[in-house]
Amino acid sequence: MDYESPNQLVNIENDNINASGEQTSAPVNSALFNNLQKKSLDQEPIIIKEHKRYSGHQKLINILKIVTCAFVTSAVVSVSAHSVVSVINTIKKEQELHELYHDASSIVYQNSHRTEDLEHYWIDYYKVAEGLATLDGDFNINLYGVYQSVGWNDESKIDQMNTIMGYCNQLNLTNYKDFVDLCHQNGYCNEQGEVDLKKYQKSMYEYLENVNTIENNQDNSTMKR
Amino acid sequence: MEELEIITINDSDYAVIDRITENNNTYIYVTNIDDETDFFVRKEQKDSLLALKDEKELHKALELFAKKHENNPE
Repeated sequence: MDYESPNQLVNIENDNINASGEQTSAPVNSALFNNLQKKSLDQEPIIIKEHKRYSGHQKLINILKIVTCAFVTSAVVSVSAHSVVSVINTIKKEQELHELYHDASSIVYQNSHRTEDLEHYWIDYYKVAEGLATLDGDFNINLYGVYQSVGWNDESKIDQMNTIMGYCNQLNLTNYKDFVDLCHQNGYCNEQGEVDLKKYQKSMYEYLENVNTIENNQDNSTMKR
Repeated sequence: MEELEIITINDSDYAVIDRITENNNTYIYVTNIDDETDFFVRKEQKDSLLALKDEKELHKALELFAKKHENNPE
């Protein structure tokens, strides 16, 4: 992309497209940009009332970054409002799916602790398993929420999930001995019989999509009554 | 694990997406965590977020962000 001149600012007034990608009379992108302009240029200083820091939330951070990037890019170069709206719709769906396992992910953050030298984190796995026992809803989805929040690579993810699922087994939350057992019994393995996390993730994503669709349909039918 | 930095402005929580320093100005990019379409850029000075001078500076700040994150939002 080229950013030679600020005059490359897209003519957003003409991008009258709604969230479904249809032409409308409302300039969706223009409203967004006007908000950006107003809040960025308003001469009144903004005072920060409170400053907070949360560990983890990598997925949320990524979502917000992607959305912000989409808007900023659309404001700087000629990207159609349709592309931006399409990105937003995708992200909105991701957020809905994230909501399904957010509580379980939070359990990991709540039981993550800094090491004394503040260089690393450690997780109280037993507390995570106990936390899972207190959650309502689908255990498979809750487990996926935990999966999303642990590990820094494939190997550590499998190790940490094994430990947590071992405790879940002790607490009678699952019949699987550990995460590797779950993967083997459900075919989330490669030809060599090793755990294939991509297969697990793909399967869970499809499952979440189905659950989300059912919940949305139920919401819609409730609203129609 | 990355930390999520939240600042509260007028009773709304905003996530700090990034900070970029250029010519002794630190631009702070924030997005409302309840409304991802509500985002803006300001210049950070202690606990105050100062306005950008004009549209030209806004474009400059947006360009810096877009260049930094191009194809690599994470």
